[in-house]
Amino acid sequence: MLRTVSCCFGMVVCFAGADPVSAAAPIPPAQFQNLHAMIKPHVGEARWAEVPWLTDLWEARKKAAAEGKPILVRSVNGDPLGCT
Amino acid sequence: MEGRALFFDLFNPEGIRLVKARCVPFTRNYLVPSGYAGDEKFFQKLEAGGARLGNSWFLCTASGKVLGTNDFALRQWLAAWDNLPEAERRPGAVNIEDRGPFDPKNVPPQPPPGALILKVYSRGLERDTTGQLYAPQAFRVGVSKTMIKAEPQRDFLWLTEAEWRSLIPPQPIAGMSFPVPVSIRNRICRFHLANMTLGFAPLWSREEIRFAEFTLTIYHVSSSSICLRLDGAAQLASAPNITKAKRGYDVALLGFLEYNVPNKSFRRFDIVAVGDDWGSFASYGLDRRYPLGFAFELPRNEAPNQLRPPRGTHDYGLAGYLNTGN
Repeated sequence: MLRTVSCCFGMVVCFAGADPVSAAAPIPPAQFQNLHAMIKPHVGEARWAEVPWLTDLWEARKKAAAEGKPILVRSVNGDPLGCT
Repeated sequence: MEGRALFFDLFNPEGIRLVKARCVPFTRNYLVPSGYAGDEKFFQKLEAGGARLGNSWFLCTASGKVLGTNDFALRQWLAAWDNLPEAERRPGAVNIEDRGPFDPKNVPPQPPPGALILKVYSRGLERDTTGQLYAPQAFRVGVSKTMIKAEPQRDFLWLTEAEWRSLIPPQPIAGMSFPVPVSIRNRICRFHLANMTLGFAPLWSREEIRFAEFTLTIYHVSSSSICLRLDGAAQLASAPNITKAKRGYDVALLGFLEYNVPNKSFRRFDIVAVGDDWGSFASYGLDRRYPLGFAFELPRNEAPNQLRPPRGTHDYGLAGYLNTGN
């Protein structure tokens, strides 16, 4: 079976065989750093991560009591600092 | 991810300054208990006071008085705090009761002793007219073609001590190539190459790894470091015939790892994965193929509580997440 697919970097590759074989083009090493930086958060993104979130309620309550501050609670149905 | 960006984008620099200066910020996954009965009792008190405990924001006192909830209106909520009697606000005014014994049942898993933790970011990408990849500012989704911010999703990869140590051969020689251990390869494929940029698409099953080949090649050896290059490719698809699969990800990987010989630890573990994803968010109206990228790296200066359990441990439990050796 001959398959033709467009792949990641605008090239076209052809290969034969019935077994599943990845058609994604290899990543050129020269593009590695650029891609790595492109995928990670950019300056100005993920502002929420600039907030020093506590994840232990008791710690948060003790800190709030000691400092005379209220607690801002963000409740999420997933890990708010991880995958959500 | 976009969902998080929608909510947390309420924070502009002034909002962040306000939170840091005037609040103790606390966040939690309300589906996962802390393991302390006292914490649950406190949340029940908040709920009785009007706080919504699901996907929500609210401001409360350390004693459990709700000052504002639902629509995010931090300045108004802080005004409610300012209006409390001084006796309720001053430092040390509230005594925090003991929260009781710890019950480890159903709490988030901890990484195995000696585990290597990697940060994993994923982002939906686009191609320009020349085929070059770029990171879009927003995605258009749904029947309404709503534009939502394209913020990267994040997750964490755990490798057991035995696994990460197995990446360095006993007698490393430049030019030596060998396959990445199956447990690592499969864990990356199943749990860390799933599209989560718009929320929770399903993780991949073992059967959905239609093809995967990850190879490490040593390209530098000295008394101080061993450098390795990772080359990989994988085809993840909901059907054996990828052309008929409703969902799939056809991906290439490239990585550069550096092992610190004197310290017996990795000081670089950078990996990029890029390929076309389709079908993961068809229900969102995003039914086209589009490039999806992942970036892996070692944590740098994160506080311990910022290193979260992998999503796969939530879906499959710790044992299911780690048991990827076949």
